[in-house]
Amino acid sequence: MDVLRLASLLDELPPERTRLLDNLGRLRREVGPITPELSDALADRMNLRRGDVHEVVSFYSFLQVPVDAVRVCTGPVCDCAGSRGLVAGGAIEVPCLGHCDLAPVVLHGDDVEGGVTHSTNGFLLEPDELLRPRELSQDEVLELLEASGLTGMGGAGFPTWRKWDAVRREPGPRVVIVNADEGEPGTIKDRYVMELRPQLLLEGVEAAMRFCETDGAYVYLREEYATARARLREAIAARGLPVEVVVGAGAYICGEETAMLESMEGRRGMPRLKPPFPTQSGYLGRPTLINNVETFAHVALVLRGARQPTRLWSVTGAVARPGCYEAPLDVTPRTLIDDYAGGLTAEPGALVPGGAASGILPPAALDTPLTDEALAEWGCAVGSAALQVFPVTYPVQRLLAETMRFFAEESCQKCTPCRIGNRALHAVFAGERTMEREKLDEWLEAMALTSICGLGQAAPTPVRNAAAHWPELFERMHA
Amino acid sequence: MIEFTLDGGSASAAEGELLVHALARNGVFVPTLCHDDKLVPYGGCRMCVVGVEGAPRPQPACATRVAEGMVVSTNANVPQLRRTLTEMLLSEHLNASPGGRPNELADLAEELGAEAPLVLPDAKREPYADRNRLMGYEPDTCILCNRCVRYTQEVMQCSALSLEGRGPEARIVPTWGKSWLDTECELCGGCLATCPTGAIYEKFLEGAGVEERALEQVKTTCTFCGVGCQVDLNVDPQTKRIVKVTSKPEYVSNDGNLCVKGRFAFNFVHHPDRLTEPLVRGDDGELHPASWEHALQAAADGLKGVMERHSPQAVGVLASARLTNEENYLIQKLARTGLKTHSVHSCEAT
Repeated sequence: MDVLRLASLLDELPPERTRLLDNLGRLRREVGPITPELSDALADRMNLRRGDVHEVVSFYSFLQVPVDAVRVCTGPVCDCAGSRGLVAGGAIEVPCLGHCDLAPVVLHGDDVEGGVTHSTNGFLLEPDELLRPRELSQDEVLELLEASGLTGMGGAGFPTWRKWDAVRREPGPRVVIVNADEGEPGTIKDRYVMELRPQLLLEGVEAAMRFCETDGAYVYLREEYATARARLREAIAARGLPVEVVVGAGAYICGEETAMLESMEGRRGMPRLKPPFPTQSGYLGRPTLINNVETFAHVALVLRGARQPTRLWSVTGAVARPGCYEAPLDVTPRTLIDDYAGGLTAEPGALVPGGAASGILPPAALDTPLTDEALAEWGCAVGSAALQVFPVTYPVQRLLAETMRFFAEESCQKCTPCRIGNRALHAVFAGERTMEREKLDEWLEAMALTSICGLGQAAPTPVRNAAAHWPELFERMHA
Repeated sequence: MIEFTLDGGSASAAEGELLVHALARNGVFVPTLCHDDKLVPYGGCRMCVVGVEGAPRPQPACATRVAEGMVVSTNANVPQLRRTLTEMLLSEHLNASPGGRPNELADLAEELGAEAPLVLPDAKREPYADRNRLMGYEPDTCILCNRCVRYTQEVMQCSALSLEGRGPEARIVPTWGKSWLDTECELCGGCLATCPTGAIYEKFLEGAGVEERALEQVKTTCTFCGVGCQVDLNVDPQTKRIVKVTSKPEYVSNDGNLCVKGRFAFNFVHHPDRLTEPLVRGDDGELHPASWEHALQAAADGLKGVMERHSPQAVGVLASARLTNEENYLIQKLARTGLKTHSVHSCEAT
C-alpha cells in the first residue's frame, strides 16, 4: 500500500456519497486493493459509517483485488472453450468478462490477452462521425420512436417511446442514464457499440438529454471494459457533453436498473422494490430515463431517419467468426451462424438464444426466427440477442450447472427465492444434491413468481427449457 | 377508511396502510420474517407475498400499501409459495436454536408442515466467536433477513453490523469481522431483539435450558436513569429469578429500544450484596437490620447532630443518576428547605 499517496489522495476525494464507488475505484488503482483499513479511512473522510463502506466494498468482485490481477473468465462460453485450464498461479476466476467472442478470455489487469479484435458488419463499421441530433420537439421525437417500433435492447424489450413518454410526464429535474453494465453471459454488443461507434451512442444520449431538458447524464460502465472506457471518454471529451462515466466494480446485478441506481448512490447494488419505477423516482429520487447502450445508438439512427429494422446480435461459441452482427429482427440461428459468423465449427448440441436467462434450445430450433413470438413456442425469449452455440461435446447438464453457478454467485442476496433457489439448482445440476421433480417445479415456480428482480424471475427459464427438450436428463438425475 | 376486496369479500383499511396491517385488521394474518415496523419496508424474505389484481406477480404485503378498490388474494397459489419459501430458508438453516430464543422460522415451518428437501452444500458458514460476554451470534441460524443490520443503520445510526459479500458467501458480520467491542456497537442488544430466528442471542442463556415461552413477563420501569424506559422482566416461574429483560415497540417512552444497562444489567437484583432491608450501625460497630422508622430516625439524628455541631453548610447531598426528574426535584427541596444547605449535586453532572 502506498501510504503517502493515500494521505494526499484522501483529501482530494469528493465526500458526496454518490462518489463512493468512484472513490473506491481510485483508491484501488492509485493506492492498492481495498483493505479494511483503507475502507475505514475512506469512510471517515466521507463521513460515512464504516459498516456502510464495508458493505459496499465487499459487494463487488474486484475492489479487494489488485489492479493488475490476472482474471480468467469462467462464463459458459469460456468454460466450454476450456478456460478453467487457464486458471493458474494467482489468477482469479470471474463469472463473465464480457469478451465471449474472444473465448477463452484472460484479462491481465485491463488488457485482454491477445488484444481486442472485432468481427462485425453493418452500421458498426460505418465512420463514427460526430453529428448533433436534429432539432425536434418532444412530440416529434416520441412520434418517430413510436413509429420505429424500437424496443429496449437490454433484454426486457420494453417499448422505448413509452419509457421516454413516462419520464416526460414527470416534473424535472430529470436524469438520463446509459446502462452500459452489459453482463449477460454471451452478450458483447454494447461493448462493440462503445468501442466502434461511441459518437453514435452519444448522439442518442444528447437527444435524450435535450428531450428530458437535463444536463445530468451518466454512463454506468462495467469495469472489465477498459477499451470501451477509453473510447467513450475520448468521445465524450470531443463532443463536449456533460456525461459522467461511472465505473462499476464487478457485479452482474448492477445491470438491473434499480440495483444500478443503488450502486450509483453509494450503496450495495441491491434491486429496489417496484413501484415506484425509475421513470417516476430514480437516481436520487428524480425521474430517470435509463436505456441500454444499443438502444441509444438505435435512437440516434431513428432520429436521423436511418434505422433499418435490425438489431445487434452477439454470436459466440462454436462458430468460425464469433462477433457482433447487425441482422434483421427475425433472423434465424442458422442464418446468423452461416451467413454472418462463418458457419459452425462443431456439431451443435445446444443453443442459447439471448443471454444466460433467455433459455436453452435444442439444435432443432436452428431455423426458428429469433423473435419473442416464435421463441415463445419453445418457452424461450430473445433477451439480449446473444446467440451462443454449444457443441454436442459440451454436456447440457454442465451448461445448466454453469449457468446456475453464475446466477448463484451473482445473486445480491436480498430475496429468498433468488438467494437460495439458484444455489440449490446449481447443486442439483452439478450432481451434488438431488431433488424430486415435483419439488423442483415448485421451487422454479416460487423463483419465477416471488423474486424481486429479473435475475431470480428469469433464472428458472433455462431449467424449464432443458426439462422440456432434454427430459431424459431429468429422469436420470432424479431417479 | 377505504374499501378493498380481500379473498372475495369486502374489507376496509386506513388509507395508505401497509397491506400486512390492513389484512391483519381484517383477520387475515400473513407471516413475515424480514419485517419490523421500526424499519423501512425491505420485502426481502418474500414470505408475505399475496396476490394483487393487476400486478404481474404476487406482491410483498410488508411493502405494499393498500389502495381503494384493491383486489387482494391470500389463497390461490399463495399458500404453496409460502411453503416453498419456507423450505428454501430451511435448506440452509443448520442450527435452529443456539441460545434457546424463539425461532419464528421454525414456528412457521411447524405450522405449514414444511421441511427442507435438501441441505445446501454451501450452507455451512464460518462460526463467529466474540469476546463480549453479552451477545452471541450463530451464523448458521441466520436467514439474511438483514433486520439486525437495518436496525443498526436506521434506528441506532451506528456501524456495528454489515451485510457482507455477494452470492453464497454473503453473511451478516460485525463490521469487517471485528469483535463487537471494536466497532461502534454499544451492546444495546437491539439487533438481538429484532432477530426473528435467535441467531443473535443472550450469550449467558446459551446452554441454560431456559424455556423462553414459559417465562413470566413483569412490566416495570427501568431504574438505571431518568428516561423511564418500560421493560419486561422475564422471570422464571420456578426459581422466581429474572432470566432476561425485553421491551415492546408499543411502550411509548422507548419504542421497545433499550440500552446495554437496561437490557443486560439486571444481575444486581439477585446479587447477595444487594441491600434488601435497612441496616443501622450499632454501638458494637456492626450493621444490624432495623425498621424503616428506626433507620430514618437514626439518619435524621446523625444529620441534625452534624448541623448543630458544624452549621448546615457542613452537610452536602449527592443524588444518584438513577433517580427520576421528580425525585431529583424532591432531593434539592429536601436539601434547601429541610437541611438548609445549597450543597446539592447529582453524579449525573460529572
